[in-house]
Amino acid sequence: MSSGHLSEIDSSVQSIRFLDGKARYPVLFLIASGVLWLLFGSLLALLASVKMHAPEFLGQWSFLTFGRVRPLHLNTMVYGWASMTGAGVALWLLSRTLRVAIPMRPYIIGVTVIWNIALFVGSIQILSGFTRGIEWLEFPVSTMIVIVWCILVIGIAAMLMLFYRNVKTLYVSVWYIIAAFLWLPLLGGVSSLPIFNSPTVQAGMNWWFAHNALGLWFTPIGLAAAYYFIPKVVGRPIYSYGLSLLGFWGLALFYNWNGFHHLIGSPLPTWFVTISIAASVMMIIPVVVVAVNHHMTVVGSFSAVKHSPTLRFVVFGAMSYTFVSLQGSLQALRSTNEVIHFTHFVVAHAHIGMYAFVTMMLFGSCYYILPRLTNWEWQSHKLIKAHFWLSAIGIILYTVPLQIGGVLQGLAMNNPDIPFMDTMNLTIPYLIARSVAGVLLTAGHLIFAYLVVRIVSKVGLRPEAPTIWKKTLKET
Amino acid sequence: MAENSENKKNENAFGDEEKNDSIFDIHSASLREQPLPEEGNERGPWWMYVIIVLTLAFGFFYMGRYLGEVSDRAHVLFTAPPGAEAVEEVEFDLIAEGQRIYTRVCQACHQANGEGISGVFPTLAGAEWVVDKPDYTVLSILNGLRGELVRERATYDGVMPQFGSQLDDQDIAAVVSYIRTSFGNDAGEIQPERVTQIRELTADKSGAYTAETIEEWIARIEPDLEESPEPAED
Repeated sequence: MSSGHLSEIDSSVQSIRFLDGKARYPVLFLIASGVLWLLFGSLLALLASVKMHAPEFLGQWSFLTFGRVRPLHLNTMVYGWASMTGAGVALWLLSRTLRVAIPMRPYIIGVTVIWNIALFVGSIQILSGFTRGIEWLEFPVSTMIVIVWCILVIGIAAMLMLFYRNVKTLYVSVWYIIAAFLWLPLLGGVSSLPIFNSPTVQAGMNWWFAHNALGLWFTPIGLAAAYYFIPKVVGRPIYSYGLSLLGFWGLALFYNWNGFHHLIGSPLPTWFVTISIAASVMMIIPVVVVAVNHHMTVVGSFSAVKHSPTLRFVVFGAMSYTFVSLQGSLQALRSTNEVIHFTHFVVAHAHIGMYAFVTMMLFGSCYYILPRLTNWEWQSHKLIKAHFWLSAIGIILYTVPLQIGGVLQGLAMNNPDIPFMDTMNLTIPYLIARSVAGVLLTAGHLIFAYLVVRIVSKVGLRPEAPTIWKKTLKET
Repeated sequence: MAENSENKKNENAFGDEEKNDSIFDIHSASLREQPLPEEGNERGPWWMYVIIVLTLAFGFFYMGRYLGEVSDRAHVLFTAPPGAEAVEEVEFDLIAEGQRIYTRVCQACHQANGEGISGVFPTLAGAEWVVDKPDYTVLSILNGLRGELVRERATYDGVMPQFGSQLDDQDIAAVVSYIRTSFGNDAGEIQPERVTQIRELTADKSGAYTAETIEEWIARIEPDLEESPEPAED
C-alpha cells in the first residue's frame, strides 16, 4: 500500500485526518456509552460475586438478589460494554480500512441514544423481575428486539461503507467486521422468534445464540482489531494472506455448530450434540492458523509490546483468544464435559473469552482510537500501565483459581459418596479469590473511565508526543 | 496549542468541509503513525498443516463413532445396550443411603446429631420408638404426626409432615435403619419388605397420626405383621 499511503497524508476525503474527523462523534458516543455500561456492569459483577460466598449480603432487597444482579451483569456487559464499544471500534476500523467516511452519522448517534434507553429500560425490567429466564437473553424480547434493531442500523452504515469503498482489495479486518454485522442481526432476530418456546428446543436455541454471540459477533470484531493494530503498530506486514483466509473461513464454517456442546446429556438428539462436539474440536484449525499468523507478525518485534499500550492489550487479547479457544475445544469432549459441566470452571472459561480476549482487545483499540478522534493525548502513561496490570493480573487471578476450584467441584459432584453441600463448601476459597480479582478489575475499569473522561473532555495539557512508554516509538 | 484552538472553532458535527487547515494540522494525523503494510504471503510452518490434518481426521472419526441414530429421538445413547451378562448386581447399602436421605430430609428438624429441638422436635438418640418399636417411626414417616407427644424424657408439640409420597419403601427402610444405628443407637437394620407391608396395612389411613391414633393403628396392624425386628441388644 505504498501508493495508498500517499493519499493518507494529504487532506483529501481519503486522508486519515478527514476520516477520523468524520468518525469522531458517532464512534466517541458509542465508546463512551460502552464505558458507562462497563462501570455499571462491574458493580453488578462485584455484587453477584460476593453473593456467591456471602449469600445474605444485601439480600433483603428483592432487586439486589443474585437471580437478578447476575443476569443483569451479563446483559449490560454483553449488550452494553462489549457490543457498543465493539460497534464503535468496528465502524472506525471500517472507515480506516475502506478509506471512506462513516455515513449515516446522525442516525448512528440516534440509535445509540435509543440503544442506551433500551439498556436502561431492560436493566429496570431485570431488576424488578421481568426476565425471559434464558442465559444471555434475559432482557424481555421487546427490549432485545430494540437492541438488535440498533445494531442492524449500524450494520447498514457498515454495508454502505463497503459499497462506497475507496480501496480495491478488502483487508482481512473488513471480512470479519462485515460478517459480524451480518451475523448478529440474524442471531438476535432468530432467537426472538416464538417458535423456540418449547422446552428442549429453547435450550438448543439458547446455546446456539449464546455461543454464537461470542463467536460470530465479539470474536470477529476482536480479531479484526488484532489484524489491524498488530501490523499497524509493529510496522510489519501480516505474515500470510493465505492463512488469514483460512482462519476466517474456518471460523465461518465451524463456529455456528459449537453451542450445543453445552447440552451434552440433555434430551437433544445425540447426533446433534456429536456434530457440535466435532465442530468444536475442528475450531482448532482456524484458531491455530490465526495464532500462527499473529505470532509470526509480532515475532521479532516484541519490544514494541513493552512500549505501546495498544499493542500490549491487543497481544494479551490475541494470546487469550488462542488459549480460550483451544481450552474450549477440549472442554467440548464428552469425557471432559462430564467433570466440568455445571461447575465454576465454565464461568471462568467464559470470562477468559469475554474479558481476557474481547475486553482486552477493546481496551487496546480504545487506546489507539481515542487520541485520533479527540485530537488529544492520554494524560498519564502510569495510569495506562496501572490499568493494564490491574486487568491482566485481575483476570488471571479470576480464572486460574476458579478453574482449579471448578475441576475439584466437578470431581466431587461425580462422587456419590460426597454430600452435595460439601461440593459447594469446597469452592468457597476460590469464590473469594474471584471477588478479590473483581475488585482489581473494577479498579482498572475506574482508571480507564477516568482516562477516557480526561481525553474526551480534553482536560490537562496536551503532551507533545503520543503517550507511550518509550519516546522513540511512533505509535500509541 | 494555537493550531488546535483555531481548529476547534471549525469543528462542526457533520459538515463535510473544514477550513483554515495549517500544514501542521494536515500532516499531524498521518505523521504520528505508520502506514498499514500490505499482507505477506508466507506458507506457515509444517507442523501447522499436521495439526490441521490431525484435527480433520479426529473430527470425522468422532462423528462416525458417536453419531448415534440420526432422528429426532431424544438423546439416543451411542453405545450398544448392555447385554444381560453385563448387568452387575450392585449391593445396596441401606445405612449409607439412609444417611443421604437423613441429611436431605430429616436433618433440618431432628438436627445432624439426632437431638431434635427441645419441646418441638423429638430427639432420636435412644428414643424408644426408634430403638425398640421402629414400627412407630415407620408410621410417623408414612403419614406424619401432630399434636402433643409425651415421651420418656420430655414432652414435644410439633408437626411432622408426611413423607409417604416422596420416599419409597426402600428409602424409608434406609433412613430408619440409619437412625437406628446412629446417634449412639445400636439396633439393627429394618428391611424394605416390612415397610411395604406396613404401607399396605395402613393404606386407608389419611392425614397425620396423633399420639392416641398411632397407638390404635399399631394395635390394629400388629397381628398381621411379621415378627418385630430384633430389639436393641442391651
